[in-house]
Amino acid sequence: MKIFGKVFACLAATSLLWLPATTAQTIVDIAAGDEQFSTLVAAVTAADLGGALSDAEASLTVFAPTNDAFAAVNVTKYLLPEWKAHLSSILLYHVLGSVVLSSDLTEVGQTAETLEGSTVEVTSLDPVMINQANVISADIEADNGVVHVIDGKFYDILLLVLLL
Amino acid sequence: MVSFTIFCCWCCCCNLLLFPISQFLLFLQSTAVLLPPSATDTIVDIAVATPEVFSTLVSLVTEAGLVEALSGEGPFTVFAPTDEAFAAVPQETLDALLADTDLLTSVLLYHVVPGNVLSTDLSDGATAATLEGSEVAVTIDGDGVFINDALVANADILASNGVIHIIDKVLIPSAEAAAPEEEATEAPAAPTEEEEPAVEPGTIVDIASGIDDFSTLVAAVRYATLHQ
Repeated sequence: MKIFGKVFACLAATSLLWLPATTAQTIVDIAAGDEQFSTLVAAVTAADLGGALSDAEASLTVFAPTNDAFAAVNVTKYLLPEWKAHLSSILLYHVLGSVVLSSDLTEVGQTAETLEGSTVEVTSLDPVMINQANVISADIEADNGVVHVIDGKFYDILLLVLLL
Repeated sequence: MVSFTIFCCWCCCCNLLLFPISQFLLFLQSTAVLLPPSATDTIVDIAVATPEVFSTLVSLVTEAGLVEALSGEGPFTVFAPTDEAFAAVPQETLDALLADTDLLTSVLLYHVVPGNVLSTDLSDGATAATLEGSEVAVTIDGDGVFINDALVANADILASNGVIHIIDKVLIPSAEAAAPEEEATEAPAAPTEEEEPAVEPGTIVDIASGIDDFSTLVAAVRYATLHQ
């Protein structure tokens, strides 16, 4: 009986691990499941935006900066409680209130209003750039929207060039 | 732009290369995290960018030499009076302010509270110590949020180094409030009663005659300078 119980527990645990991955995966689940978004997840948690981004009824577009991308910003400052409103506004500047796929981008200069209130602009189509950020991976679909990964690793090359 | 110049120097003979290089540079300049104006523009930037509302405030801040301090690291909370608010101040009072930079600085610093104070942090009856040294009082009633007797017309405008609340009256520090020893002795006994006079607006003449040393002000300016 004991061994059956263990096997059953194992099976149950395995199915629990697998089920969310295949059936319901919100934008937050995608970010939380990928180590390169750990800074983003910490920031979203600090700004109390986790709930809004896991809302299953929502239909959002999120430009998700990788940990490398966050290196250009003083994250430790924004994680302090007194900067919470600013952190929230920065994060909401990465979210559109509707689903925008890479195929919807047709020309440089297209703008979209973010949930923060101001707009982001398509500054390049090949490669795709939003404002000053490179889209390094597009159209990752979630149940409540779509994720585009943005990164700024080329920024480091700039520093290298300047140093040389 | 700097790097572009460097590239230009490196390959001044290869005009054909310039276009691909400029595209490549677009790559290089990426900062990755998208930054809204609230994360890149300082309090001063925002005020300067809205001349239709803040032209008087900006000129007075410039006159007082506070631009650098208010563009500093912060964070600061600024209660920013509109041009209309300044227009309601008698001309002779404005002239008196412009004639005395110390007095002007004192009045302007009375509009600045250290830290990020959002509207959600305010409660009725609260007070906040300004960089001028004395306190402003917060009143929240059915008519809105008031700082002393100024109505907050637009709250929580985020800047990279703090937050701006637009108010419809100029805040004038009272002379009594500038004396720190009075607060130290009276405040513990009966805080609310004793602080009331401190927030009643005095006239500029009261202040000019009431303050004979500016130690509080000097401390405030030093604070502002240190926190650049």
